[in-house]
Amino acid sequence: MNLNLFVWRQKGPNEPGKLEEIKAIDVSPDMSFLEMLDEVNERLVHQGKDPIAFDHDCREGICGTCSQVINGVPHGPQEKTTTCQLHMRKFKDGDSIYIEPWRAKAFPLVKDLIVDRSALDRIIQAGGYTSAHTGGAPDGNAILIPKPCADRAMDAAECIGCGACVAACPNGSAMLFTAAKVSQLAYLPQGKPEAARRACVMTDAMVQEGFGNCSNHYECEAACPKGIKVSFIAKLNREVLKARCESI
Amino acid sequence: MPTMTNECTAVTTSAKWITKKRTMAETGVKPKPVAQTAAALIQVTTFANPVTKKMMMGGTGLALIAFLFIHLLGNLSLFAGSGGLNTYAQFLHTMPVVVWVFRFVIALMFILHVWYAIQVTIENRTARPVDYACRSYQKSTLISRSMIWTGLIVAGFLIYHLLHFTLQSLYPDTSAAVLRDSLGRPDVYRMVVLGFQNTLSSLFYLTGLLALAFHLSHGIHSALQTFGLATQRTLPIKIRAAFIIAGMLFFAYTSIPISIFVGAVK
Repeated sequence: MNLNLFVWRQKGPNEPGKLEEIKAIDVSPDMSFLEMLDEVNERLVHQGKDPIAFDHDCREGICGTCSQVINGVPHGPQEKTTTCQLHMRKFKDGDSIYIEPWRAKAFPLVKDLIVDRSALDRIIQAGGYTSAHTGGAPDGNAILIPKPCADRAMDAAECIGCGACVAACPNGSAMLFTAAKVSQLAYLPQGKPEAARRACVMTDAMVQEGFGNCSNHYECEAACPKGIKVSFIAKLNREVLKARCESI
Repeated sequence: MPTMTNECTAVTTSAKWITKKRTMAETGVKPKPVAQTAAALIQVTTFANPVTKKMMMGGTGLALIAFLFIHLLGNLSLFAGSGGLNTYAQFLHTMPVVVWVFRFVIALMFILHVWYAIQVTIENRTARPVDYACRSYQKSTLISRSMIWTGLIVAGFLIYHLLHFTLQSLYPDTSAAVLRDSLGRPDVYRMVVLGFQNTLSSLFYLTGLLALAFHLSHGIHSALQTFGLATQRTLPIKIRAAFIIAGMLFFAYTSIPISIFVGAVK
C-alpha cells in the first residue's frame, strides 16, 4: 500500500521545523511502523536526502525508546502498543499519517522526531531508590510481602519510561510516570524507609523539570503502552498527603 | 475505552484547522514572555509541589460544593411560599456574626480556588510551548479541558448574582430593601419572583448554572482522585456519580427560575 506521511522535520534544537510530506511506497501490511520508516529512510538516502531521525532500540516493545505521536496519539492508534509493535495493517492504502515528536517543554527536541527525555531520569534520581544492606546475599523470602502488594508493585513497575503519558497529557504533566515510579517502591516493605521523602522530592523534581500539573484528564492512561492505571496517581497523592501529615 | 477516531486522516474536513496549527507550529517556538514571567513569579510565591496545589484546588472546590448544598436548602424554601423564604431570610438576619463568618470562609475558599486555578492553568499552558499539528483525544473530554473557561463563566455569574440578590444594586426598585411583605418584613420572595420574571436575567442564571454543572461534573471526581479516594475499581463509579450529582444540583437550582418563569410560582 501507499501512504502519505507528514513528518516533523527539524535539523536541530534551535532550527525552525516543519511538517514535510513524504510518500511511503509499496508498504507491506506486515511491516512494523518503524520498519516502514526504515524503508522510507533507505529511499531518502538513495535520493541523497537526509533520512528521518527517530528513536528506537529493542523493537520488541519493552525498552520505551521509540517515541512518535502518530495521528495525534502517542505510539499511534492501537492501545497498549509501542510504536515498534504497531503494524501497518492498522492503516489503509492512501492514508495520511501525521508523525510528530513528543511535545513538552521538559523534552527539548534534538532532531526531527528525537527528543531528550533525560528529565524523566532526573525525576528518578531525585528519589527513586531504596536503601539496601551490603554484605552477604539476604535470604530469599526473609521479608514477607503480601501478594496483592507484590502484584500492584509489579503493575507499577511495568512502566518503561517512554514518556507517552507526558506526550498525551493536555498539560504536559509527567504525573503517571512519577506515580508509577513512586508506587512500585511504596507498595513494598523495602521502599518504606524513604517513602515519605521520595513522594515529595520526586513530585517537586517533576515541576522543576518543567512538566505541567495533573488535572485528571486520564489521557495518560489511554496512551500508556503498558496500561499503567491512573489509580497509581491516586496512590502517589496519598503518599504525598501521608508525608505532609507525618511532617507536621 | 472509546475507539480512537482518526480525525487527522480526514484531511479534507479538517485541512483548514490543521493548516492553521501547522503554521503556528512551523513559525517556531512561541515564547509567551508574559505567561512565563507570571508563572515564575507565582512559583516563588506559593507552594511548588504539584500535589499540594492539586489538593488546594480540590479541597477548596469540595468546600464550595458543600456550600452549594446548604445554599440550595435555603433557596428551596421559596417553594413554601412567601412565608417560607422570608422567614428563612429573617432567620439569617438574626445571627449576623454567623452569617459573616460563613461569608468570610466561603470568600476565602473561592479566592484560593481561583488563585490556584490561574496559577495551575498558566503552568500547564507553558509546559507545552509548541503544540501538536494533529491531535486526537482518547479519554479527556471537552469539559475536562475547559475547566478554566467554565470556571470563569461561573465567576462572572457569581458577580451578577451577588449584585442581583445580595447587594441588590441591579434592580433597586424591586429589592427586598424596598418591598415589604404582609408582616412588614423585607420581602425577599417578591424580589426573587420579580427578578426571575425577567427573561434575560433567567437566561443568565441558566447559563451560569449550566457552566457550573459542567465544572462540577469533572471537579467532583477529580477532587476525589486528588485526595487519593479512588481506586481502579471505584474511579469509574465516581466519574458517573460526579455527573449525576452535578446534574441533580443543576436541576434543583434551575427549578427556581424555571418555575417562576413559566408561572408555576407567582
